[in-house]
Amino acid sequence: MTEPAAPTAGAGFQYSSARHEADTAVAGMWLFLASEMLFFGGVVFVWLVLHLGHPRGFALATAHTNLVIGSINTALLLTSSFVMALAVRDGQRGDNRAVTRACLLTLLLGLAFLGLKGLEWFLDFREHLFPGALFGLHGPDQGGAQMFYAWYFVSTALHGVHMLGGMGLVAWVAWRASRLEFSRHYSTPVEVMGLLWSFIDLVWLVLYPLIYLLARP
Amino acid sequence: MIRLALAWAGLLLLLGIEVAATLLHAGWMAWAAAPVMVMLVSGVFMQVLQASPLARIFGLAGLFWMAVLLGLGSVDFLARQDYPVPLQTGAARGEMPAAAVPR
Repeated sequence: MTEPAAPTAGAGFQYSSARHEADTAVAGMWLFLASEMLFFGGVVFVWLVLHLGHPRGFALATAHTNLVIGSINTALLLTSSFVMALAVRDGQRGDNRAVTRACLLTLLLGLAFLGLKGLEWFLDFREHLFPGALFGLHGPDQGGAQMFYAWYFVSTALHGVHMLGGMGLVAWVAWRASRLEFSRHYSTPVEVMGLLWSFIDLVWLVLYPLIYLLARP
Repeated sequence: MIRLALAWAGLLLLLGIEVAATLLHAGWMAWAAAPVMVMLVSGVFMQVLQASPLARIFGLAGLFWMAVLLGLGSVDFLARQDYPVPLQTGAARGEMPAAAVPR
């Protein structure tokens, strides 16, 4: 009977090398992201179906969405994704301080996004755009408009929950980097969280035109 | 660094184009801009092409099944022909009222 091979330095015993371990973690994250694509694919599908059935109601509702806040938020999220990509690069170089800084800036941009989203929701509620008996838009197309806002609140809430989860994980990476845990040979958590954060950005890049642009009259 | 910065600048430019097109009543242009933005983020920020074959297969599988979800799911709604329900009693005699003639 042969003895199991000694684990490679920095890698779990089941991996042939640290790179093998990192590739497995990255592939695992992509598998999770594939399931997330289907999750948000359902959200996009609901928009498509409702829009086909209620084009005028969607046009009425989209005209009342806040294009300024939505566009600023998109720019914030794109920038945070760029900063997180820088963190991944810094992690691969073993520069822990740069990773910490980039993660903290990503968190700040994420917080700004959520703050503006909260303000937007507050303004929506003030205009009675939440579906229900007190809905503020009237006329023959108000049914379709209510459907749009039902979809809007669900989809932005789902995205917001992903943002919160992502921010928690980015904070965890920042904390580990502040303890100088990453090196040239090991920065897998930074790489994997970079993927997750950019995916959350991707989801928003799809939601943004659906909410603010495509049905606008 | 330059590659990442260029992608970021390109993304902001595309966002500007989306907003400008919408203000000029051409919001449909987002159908063209958004996929390019998604490709820039996944290609440059997420480095999908540099990932291991297994990771790329997972990413492609996600895209494939999402295309099936959206495509197969939309077929019914895009191809459905609505026929008004016949209201006259003539329908009971096998006559098709004028309102029930397919559009």
